[in-house]
Amino acid sequence: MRGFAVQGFAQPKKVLKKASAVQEIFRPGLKRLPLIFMALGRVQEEVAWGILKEVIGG
Amino acid sequence: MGHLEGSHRRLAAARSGLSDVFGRPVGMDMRAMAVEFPVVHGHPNRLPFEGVLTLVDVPSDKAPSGSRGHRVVLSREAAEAALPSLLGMAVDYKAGWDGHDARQKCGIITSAELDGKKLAVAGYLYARDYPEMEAKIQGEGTMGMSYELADAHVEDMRASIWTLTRATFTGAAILLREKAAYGSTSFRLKRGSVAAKRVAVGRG
Repeated sequence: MRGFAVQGFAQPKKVLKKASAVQEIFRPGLKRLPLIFMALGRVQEEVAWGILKEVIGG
Repeated sequence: MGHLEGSHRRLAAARSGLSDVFGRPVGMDMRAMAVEFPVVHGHPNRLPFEGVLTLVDVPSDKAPSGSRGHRVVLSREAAEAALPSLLGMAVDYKAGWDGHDARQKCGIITSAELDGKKLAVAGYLYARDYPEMEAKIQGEGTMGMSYELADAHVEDMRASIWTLTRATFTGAAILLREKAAYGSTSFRLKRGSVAAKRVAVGRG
């Protein structure tokens, strides 16, 4: 769960915090999988910002 | 470089009265920063210029290079915070005057100010080293500017127009206004500087 959640995001700590918080609230079991995706959805909302490596020439 | 230590910051905000100390309209907020250079009369390689580098809190007319096709907005807060990074950076130009060539540096920015929505800059061109520039800029009259930003923070990468909330200026390009991301930028040689130069050359 954690490894999966972290991949591809700019702020792994935030992702972990959010994902683990969801896990703690809802006990593991059949319900876990949809909740993971819910958590990821929320996390994606939070880390929508980014830092560009390219130089912007405007 | 003792003379360069004379940098100073000038902040002015007119919030009441009919006009501020600079005669600007009421309510206009201005922030400025400059590095003072010693005056050298008739310096053959220093040609003063001024221009509007970009607009703040206004979406660009086109997508700048490096923005992956997104138009961008440079927030006022980001521009204010980045003003110090602009001083001492170079202006460059590309053959054809249609883009950036950061390695072809032809001048230096010595002052920057936020005047309303305009980020105005001034500085010197290396006129002796690049004699073709003076003729081109005076002849065209349609030159603009384009900033170069590194470490730009984008508020929401999924937005169609990217809002830049933090960035560092690494330079600026002089180019045809129609090629700039902001069509309302400008670039011109300072009044009197060309005439003064001609007089100095004539006397020499």
